Amino acid sequence: MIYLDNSATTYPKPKSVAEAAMTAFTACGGNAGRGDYEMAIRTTESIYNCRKKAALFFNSPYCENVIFTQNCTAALNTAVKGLARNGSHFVISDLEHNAVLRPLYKLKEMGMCDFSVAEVASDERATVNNFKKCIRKNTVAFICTGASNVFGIIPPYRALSEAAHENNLLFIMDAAQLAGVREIDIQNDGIDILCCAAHKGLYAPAGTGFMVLGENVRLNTLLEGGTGSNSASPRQPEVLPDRFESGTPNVPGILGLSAGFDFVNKKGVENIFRHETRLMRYLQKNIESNGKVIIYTDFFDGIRRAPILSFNIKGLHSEETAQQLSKDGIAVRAGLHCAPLAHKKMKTEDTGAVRISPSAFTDKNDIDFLINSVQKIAK
Amino acid sequence: MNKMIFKFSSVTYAMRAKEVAENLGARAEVKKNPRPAKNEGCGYRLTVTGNPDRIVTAFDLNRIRYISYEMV
Repeated sequence: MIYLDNSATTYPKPKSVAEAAMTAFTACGGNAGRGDYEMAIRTTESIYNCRKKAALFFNSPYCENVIFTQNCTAALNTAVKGLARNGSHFVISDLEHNAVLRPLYKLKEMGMCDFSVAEVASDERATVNNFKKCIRKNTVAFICTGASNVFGIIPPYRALSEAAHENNLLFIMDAAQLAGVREIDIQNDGIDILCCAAHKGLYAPAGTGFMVLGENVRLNTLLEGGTGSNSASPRQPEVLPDRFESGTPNVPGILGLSAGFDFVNKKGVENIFRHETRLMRYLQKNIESNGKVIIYTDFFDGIRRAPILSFNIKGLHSEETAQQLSKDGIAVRAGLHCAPLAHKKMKTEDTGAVRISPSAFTDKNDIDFLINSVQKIAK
Repeated sequence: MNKMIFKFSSVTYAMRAKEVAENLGARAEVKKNPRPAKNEGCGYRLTVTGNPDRIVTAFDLNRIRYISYEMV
């Protein structure tokens, strides 16, 4: 199988990730942050080490501000619902995933919050102005994807965070597609809440995510429960990360993530980005001349586009194209990619699109095989 | 060299404190608090052998939140 669905979840995982996850069953089986026996302490230390790696990776000065979650969706729900108060208003981009749209839609349906959708334009200044125009008296945050999970568009997030802060708003980034693919520095980029999937560009097991909180970000909790701290009190602890980490943690996932950080650090984020971008440029160059192929990812300049290419073949629904590719042993993702706003923006809401997303393991032979298959289908 | 015991509610802070103390050349060990106060429940303690003033200052500078400490 040629796997090109890495924006959904990376595959294969590095051997080191599988081995690290396995240690949760062989050496780190104790209940982290609770037990005082040797194995529990070893498990606790392993989780702590991953927390430190995450803090370092995103330039957070405080590792306790790294909060492990079930996935990026859980992190975004914690951010949105933790911040929402009665009457709050949010501004989101027109590229957001349902992980952002649906929590806000639910809050809106409940009559609790409202939100506006700002267009990400081709020009940075226009994008910032679009966000600014949506600000109301009761706006609390801008929420913006680091990169569109369908079209690879990278919004000008640093300029948006500046605009948010100038207006005393928080800036929340959905970094599901960007973490591990592009350098993210929460201090320099002005990110107040960074929400990440661990199983995509960080090569960790599925079911693992986290958020990194900036300084002085105050959120309500979504989950309350046992934290192994202050147990006599019925009140959820204030201290981080305990406040947001109720229940037994996903030790295999977190230990896998720890090895994922090592893998990405060893390869180098910029090298991974360059490698994947080169492959997508090569793909684009080799299918764009086919009159039956419509490419939606317009260019790969190495700055404003993540290495994701979406296309359709005239006369076919994206799912039909994906099924034909699957017959050739090529795994891609078709449909709406849980991002109806982005598809509406690109006018692909009826057909969806076929998304090609490489990883550090993808090579030119994989893309050549894909090109041949696409040309065959688009004859 | 003095021995001090710091009490923490969160193991993450206890572990970060251990690292900060060790970076100052102190010896430090994290254990669960063997005798939590009645109203505290679970918690951790860090036993540190080193210069108390330097350690407390370093903890404050590193924004390490502990419940209390005592000399032993």
